[in-house]
Amino acid sequence: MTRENIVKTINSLLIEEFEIEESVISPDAHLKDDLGLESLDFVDIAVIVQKEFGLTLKGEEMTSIRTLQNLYDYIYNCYQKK
Amino acid sequence: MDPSSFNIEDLIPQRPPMVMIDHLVHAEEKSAGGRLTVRESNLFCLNGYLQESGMIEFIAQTAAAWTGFKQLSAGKEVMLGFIGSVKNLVVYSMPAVDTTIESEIVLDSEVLGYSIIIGRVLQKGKLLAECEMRIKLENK
Repeated sequence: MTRENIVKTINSLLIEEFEIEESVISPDAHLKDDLGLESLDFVDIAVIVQKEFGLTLKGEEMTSIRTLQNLYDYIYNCYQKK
Repeated sequence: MDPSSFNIEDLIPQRPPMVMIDHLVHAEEKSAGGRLTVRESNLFCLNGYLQESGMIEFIAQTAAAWTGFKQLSAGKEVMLGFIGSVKNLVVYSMPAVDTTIESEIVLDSEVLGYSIIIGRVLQKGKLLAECEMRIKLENK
């Protein structure tokens, strides 16, 4: 699994599931302030990550995630530890 | 243990008039089914038909009863369940008063403390409604 795969999967999820405009998706986008994601949306993200990458995300580890880059990095790091 | 032998109020925290399931009919590790006869006195009935909200609640309470059954079978207390969100709801038709409907739920996944449920409501094999539901369980 490469970073590119993770970025592509997450970005597709944001566009298709959350109907977020592609133009506002950038690594430094703030998940809440820029993309409008709410806490329950992280459940959907976790479901997709579990199905696509076989990773079980942990809520307590996700509390420091603020930006899209943080999310990409977190998933990548989880995958590396798998 | 036969789930249909339980009084439904022993399996769910809801009480009349909010009880929206008569029996938990079957319960497996990752799926379950319930039954409900639609009465005119049902809170979610309007003009002789059970409304969308009633079918959503039926699915949610099937999940609650299933969890309650598993908890009681393990000698634990029944937990409270909260609907976090409902996604991809499609209602094909609404059941009439004095008819019986069935629910089928499948546990799709469990993430971040939520159970992701795929739920369907059927009547004599005909699909009436389906949705995905995120349910959060907490101790009383």
